[in-house]
Amino acid sequence: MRNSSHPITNKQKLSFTFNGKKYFGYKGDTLASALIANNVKIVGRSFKYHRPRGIFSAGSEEPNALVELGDGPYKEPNTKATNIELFDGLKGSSQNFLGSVNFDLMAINDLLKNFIGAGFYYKTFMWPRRFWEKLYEPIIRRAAGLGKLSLKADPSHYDKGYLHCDFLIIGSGISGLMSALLLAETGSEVLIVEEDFILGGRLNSERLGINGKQSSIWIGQAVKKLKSLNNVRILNRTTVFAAFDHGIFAAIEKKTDHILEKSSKPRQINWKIYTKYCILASGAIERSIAFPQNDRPGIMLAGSVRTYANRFGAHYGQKIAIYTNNDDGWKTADDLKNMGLEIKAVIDTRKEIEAPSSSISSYLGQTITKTYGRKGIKAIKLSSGSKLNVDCLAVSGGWSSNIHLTCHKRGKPVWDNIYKNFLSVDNAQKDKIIPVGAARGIFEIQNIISDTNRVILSLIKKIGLSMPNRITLTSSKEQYSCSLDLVSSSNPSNSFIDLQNDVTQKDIELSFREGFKSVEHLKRYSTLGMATDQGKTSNILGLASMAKLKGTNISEVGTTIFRPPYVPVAISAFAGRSKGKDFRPTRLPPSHNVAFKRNAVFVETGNWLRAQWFPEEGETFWRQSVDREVLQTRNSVGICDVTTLGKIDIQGKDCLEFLNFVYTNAFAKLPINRVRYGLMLREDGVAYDDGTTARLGENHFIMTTTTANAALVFRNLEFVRQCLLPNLDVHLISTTDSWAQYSVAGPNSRRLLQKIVDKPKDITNANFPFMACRELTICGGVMARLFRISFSGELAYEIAVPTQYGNALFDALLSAGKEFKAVPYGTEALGVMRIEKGHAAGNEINGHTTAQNLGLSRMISKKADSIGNMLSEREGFNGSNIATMSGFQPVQRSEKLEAGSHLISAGKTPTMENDEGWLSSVAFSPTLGHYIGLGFIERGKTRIGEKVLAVNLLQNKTTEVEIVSPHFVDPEGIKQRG
Amino acid sequence: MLIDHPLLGLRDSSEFIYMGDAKLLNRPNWKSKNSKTKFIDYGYLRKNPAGVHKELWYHEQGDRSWLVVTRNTVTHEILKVELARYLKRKANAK
Amino acid sequence: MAKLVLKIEKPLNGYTKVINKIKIAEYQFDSLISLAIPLNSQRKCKLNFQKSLGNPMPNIENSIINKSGILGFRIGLDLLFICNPSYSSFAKKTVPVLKQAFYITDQTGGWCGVVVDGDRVIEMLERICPLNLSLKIFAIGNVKRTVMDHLNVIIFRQTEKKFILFSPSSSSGSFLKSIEISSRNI
Repeated sequence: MRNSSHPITNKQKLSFTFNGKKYFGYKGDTLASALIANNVKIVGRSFKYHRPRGIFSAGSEEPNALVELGDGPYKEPNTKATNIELFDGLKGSSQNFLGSVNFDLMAINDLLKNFIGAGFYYKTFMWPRRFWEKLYEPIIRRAAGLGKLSLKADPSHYDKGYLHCDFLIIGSGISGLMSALLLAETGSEVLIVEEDFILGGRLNSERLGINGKQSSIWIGQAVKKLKSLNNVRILNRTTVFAAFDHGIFAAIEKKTDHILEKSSKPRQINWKIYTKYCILASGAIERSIAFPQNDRPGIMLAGSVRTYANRFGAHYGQKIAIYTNNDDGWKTADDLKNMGLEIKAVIDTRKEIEAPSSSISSYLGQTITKTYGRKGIKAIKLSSGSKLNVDCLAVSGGWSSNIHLTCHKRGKPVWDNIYKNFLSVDNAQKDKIIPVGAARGIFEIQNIISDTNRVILSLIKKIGLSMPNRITLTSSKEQYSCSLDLVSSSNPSNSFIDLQNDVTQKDIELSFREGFKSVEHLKRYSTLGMATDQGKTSNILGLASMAKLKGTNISEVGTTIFRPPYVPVAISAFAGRSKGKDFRPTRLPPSHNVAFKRNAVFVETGNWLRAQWFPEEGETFWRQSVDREVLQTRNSVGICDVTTLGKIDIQGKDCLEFLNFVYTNAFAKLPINRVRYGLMLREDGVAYDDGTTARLGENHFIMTTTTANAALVFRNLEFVRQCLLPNLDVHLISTTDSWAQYSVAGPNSRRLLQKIVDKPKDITNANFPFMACRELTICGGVMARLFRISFSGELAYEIAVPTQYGNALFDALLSAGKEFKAVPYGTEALGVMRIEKGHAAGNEINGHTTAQNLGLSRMISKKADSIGNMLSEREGFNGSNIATMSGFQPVQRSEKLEAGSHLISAGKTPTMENDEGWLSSVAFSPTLGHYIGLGFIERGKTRIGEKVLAVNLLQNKTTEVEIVSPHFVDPEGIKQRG
Repeated sequence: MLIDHPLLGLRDSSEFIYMGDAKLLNRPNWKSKNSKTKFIDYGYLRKNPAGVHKELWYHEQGDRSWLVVTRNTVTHEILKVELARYLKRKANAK
Repeated sequence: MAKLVLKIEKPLNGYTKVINKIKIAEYQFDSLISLAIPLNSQRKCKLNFQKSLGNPMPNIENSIINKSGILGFRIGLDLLFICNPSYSSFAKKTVPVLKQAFYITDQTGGWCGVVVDGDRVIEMLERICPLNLSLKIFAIGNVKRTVMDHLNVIIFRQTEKKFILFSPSSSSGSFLKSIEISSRNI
């Protein structure tokens, strides 16, 4: 019901639907307050027993009122009605029911409650084992759980961001605002983060006076002042959900959740906040009391009932009772009475107190033993036997400081026996999280004001910032004391401790009986506090219950700790904008535009997008294009973009010593204008990477690495430079992006290049032999580098120009090559030709193979130390039995080979014991007209000509293959030297 | 996590690559006695203490410095950050 | 056959656009070279730098702009960048002098520059840049290297609300998209 004189009724009227029915609310409502105003009591069904449940709280601690919001792909399950800012056109619905929320077929579980208590799943579904996957799990998954996903891609945008401040203030209640005002005066950067859409925190829910006026006036002044300051930033609708090391916090800002229109702006922003200090003004969370049938719709936290009445003018019914174990419950009674509602009674578990209000009928020292009304509370029965008819029951089990964030770095809370509350301990101070106000266990406003002044001013003094004046405020006086009467002694199976996970007092008793007595065991066995609310309103009840069973107190029992996130956060918010193609950056090689215009098919290799092949008209199958590219390159000339290979510019007086150390083979005598192939090992002796290094000058070298290892090799070279050999004069610059590099391969490659270079004579075979390199100019003065190296086995070169000329050079090479019918070729043809030539690549140098496996043992120079040199000598890497790289071809030439096939001697069965090696790379060789493969087989070198079996158990295929030399094409290397 | 880079001040750990125990700075001399055993120890044996530990971090998305970070693995407190090259040069000078 | 001429292509083809009042434009330069300081040559390099460019060699994360508009910034203990925005005699005259003290690496094609300029530029950068952009921490003329949206970026603050961002040229398209999305998302 709505109090028609409440100021909210002057605001804009909003219409919304819940479970298909149309309702009205006002701007400033939450979905929960609007539902209460419309007297909607059943909002959802409980997790396990499918009991009807209503709104329980007024904040993010809500265990019950989880609803589905929106529809279609925008549908979002498990949102808390208590946190949803009402907007015109909002569509909400209940979840976790079969049939309708008012008549849920799954409510049968409620009758089976005695059978499906704590540990039920562990005990019941153990056998027969095969039933688990097919029978038990699907049923359990359907029955349990919360809302349903739309199963469509979320069309909303999400983003991330970074914020820096000196002081992060979490919460904008009185202690948060006071802290902000004090700290802002020091000139520091202050960031205030508030979960609610309005600032003021608890003050918005209370009828408290500050400086003799309604507290809202002071809030208004404080906020206005803070907003006027350049060094203060305020984020509302933002929840800090995690605390990390060194003053880093994560917060989720709801940007457009309160707007119906789907916006092109991000819906939520996941902020990473860096701060020197965090002022935790997160307030306190009220807890419940466990008593029989304490989960009926209409039973709510007393402070929340007060919030709905004061802030929203909304309440259930006219006959309200309050059940409390502390003074705060009485405040709710006062406020509701002030609104003109009938207070049926205040039931206080404490006997010895003096009833604070004589005008309200009270039952002291009594408990509630039973409630009535399955779909909404109708009556309560007291321990004295009297029965009262009520339509709303406000329950207060006292307040718990909201210290969730202080636990994220394993801060263990300690029990405060005065206010019956867990507080954060000193290690939070060390982490520079400083609680103030109710989060610090100070519950009365007059004390909060003086204590916040004291805490913040002493912090400012300690840091040594300029001292502001203390804030003088006069306020209403509050009084708070609390007992620990939290658990009932009758009917434990109906006394709910954890509403969200349906954990009852009986489950705690069962855990105790079965030996799960430590809090960590209790939590996991009973699932207490393991729901999405992490037991914010219920954990203390469970602990009190366990303490009672153990005959001890809560401080002895201890508590489990809270973990991030403070509230559930959508996975999309963690992905941010990094989805689909934007998951990671794309790197384009310099010839991309030319390749794109020529309809190249592209392949992702790491972040690079490379041309895989270049289909020509009439080619419908990839092999047609690839075979053509290979043959045309071998017959005339082909051009391939090899820019993606890592390029490292190495300069310094001590480069040779450096290279000698990082490569296994000797580099000490590499002459200027020569290139050498180099092999790198890891320190454990396993092959790591290979490539060439060219010497361009006395102190200037260009190293190439494989595409995949470019960044890793650079990192490791820097490690050697700085950590192992820091006295050498060596400098490393990654120039992969700075130079466009193209392979020009084939018998006509020299003739083609002679049309490009400014001095064609410079590159004759005599002046520029195999493994030569030099700097020269091309196309009328453009600086270039030419390397006579060959991956294909052909007469071949790699030519490099500064990247800004890259696209133009690729075009120029193709147009100059027209007379030779030059073709561009892609990564497939590149791969085919290197297999034909027998060059190892990533499939062979795969992190498992050694120089010995690769047939490169002679490359390990014993003249000087090098990375991996020593451990390459270990026994297992050497000897005559090791697998060596060999070539393979099918005995029946028409047969296809499969990479990954295992090699087994003829006549043996394909078992692990008989495994002698594997095929690492296979390709159809258009040059030879049949499939070929590279692979590793024990004693490969001595077995040339032997026929073995290539077994592929995945495809159930066995092929007879012949062991041959890995160099299928031009084994003597005549072509590349020609 | 923030690492107080000796040249650049506090930088987010996302700019860094972690490489574990800083003992990797002390690569054995291949000509020394029992050098193979020493290399096996160097390559495979790492301390993993609950407490103060010297670790290697590489500022890959920054100035490319290798750093030796003294960090308490229990509290995550960072006690000291040094440039690896200075430490190694100092050790070489001895 | 006509003589082949190679035309220069800039990574973003001279892109320019305004989104949410933030001017985004490719920062074009004639050359970008890096200077490495040889071991134990700090003094020699300082003198050479002053002689070659007319300004003192900047400290780490600082920059100079000399009278010809050449931007020099220092990114590491032994590494500087010189960005020459205009076509001039720089390559022919200044670089050979620098070579007498420094190891020079031409990186002109390796980087793509983007200028972002406008009142809301900080809000935009907050979405991708993990660095503290407060003027107290990141002063005008400062330059830092960091990671933005998975990419390595050198960020130079020209004025309070104007920055030049250098990122690797091969991924410049992705980085530009990052800047565009960030500008739209504020």
